[in-house]
Amino acid sequence: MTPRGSPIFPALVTGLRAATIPLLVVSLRAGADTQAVLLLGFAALTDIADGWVARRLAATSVAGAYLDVTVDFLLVSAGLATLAARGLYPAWLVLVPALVFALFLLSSGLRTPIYDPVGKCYGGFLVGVVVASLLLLDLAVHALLFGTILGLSAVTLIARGRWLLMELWPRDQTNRLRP
Amino acid sequence: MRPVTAISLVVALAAAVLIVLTEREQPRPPEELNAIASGPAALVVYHPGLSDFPDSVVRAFAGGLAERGWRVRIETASRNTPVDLSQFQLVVLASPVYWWMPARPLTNYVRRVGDLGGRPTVVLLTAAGQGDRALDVMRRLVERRNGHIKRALVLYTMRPNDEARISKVPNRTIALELAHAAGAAIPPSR
Repeated sequence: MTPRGSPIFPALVTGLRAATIPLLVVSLRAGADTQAVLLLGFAALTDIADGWVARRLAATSVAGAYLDVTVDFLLVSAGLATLAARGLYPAWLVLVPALVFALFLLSSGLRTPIYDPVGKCYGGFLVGVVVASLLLLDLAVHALLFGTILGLSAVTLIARGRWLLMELWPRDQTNRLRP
Repeated sequence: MRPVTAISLVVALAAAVLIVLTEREQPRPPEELNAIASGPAALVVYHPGLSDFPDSVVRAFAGGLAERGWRVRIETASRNTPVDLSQFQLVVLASPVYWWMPARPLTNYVRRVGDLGGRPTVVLLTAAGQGDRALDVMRRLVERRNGHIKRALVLYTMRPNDEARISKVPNRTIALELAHAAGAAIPPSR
């Protein structure tokens, strides 16, 4: 049996990503967009690294997975909120990832596995949206990014919402088979 | 379906919808400012775009012109926009910058006009942060159509419009102030 490593190391890597959140907000508020892009790049690297470290040390844990997703959520929410404060996106857009995150928490304890074609990439996609918003300074591109956030959020909300409803109100499978 | 496929499909769908929306004409009833004044007349032709920012900038600029004594007629760029400029002494062409280019309804309008008759022409663009290429396109278009560029101005949503004031005043407010000041800086001339 392989000895399990300490989950503290992957958590530390995730913690580094959490530490970028206030720096990101300060950079975006100051209009230091290049610095903000570099911080998001660093955050993306830690997102890859924490999973790798956890697997390498055989230190994967449920708590670590939740911490990872929570930090991702806080990072993209902070990025989108600051861009909304700069007038780039409407303020209510921040509620969309919050709703997705809430549904993720609700649906993560389900007994049946969920088919969500977007969920796994959702956090990374939103980080990409914030980076693209800062690098591609065009009104149509920003509208495209806005529309894509709404579209992908709808996909993941429908996928997870459907599974959640099926879990809460399961159909009687035997009745369905009767003629 | 793999995540990359799902994301690509949503991006492609959103892009298709956006291309249609950004290139679509948005005709609105014409408006007049300072209509009873005896000053020279300015024609403002603009494309409203997807947000209220271009519209607000155009109104701020037109307000500045009216304050200075111009009679101002505001039209949206469409097939129905008048192409006879004989009664106007100034032409203002305004558009948001989409896909790094001026909106097609406005460039199509300039092509329909054909000859600007050497008229002083103002180009007023609104962009997220990269508007130089679109400004070059508009300059060349106006000059090729025998227009005389009186003023060219790009106002931004993301890039600071005034570095010195950006920490104290919202960028949008600065943009509207600059647009108004630019309009008010053009003296009436026949």
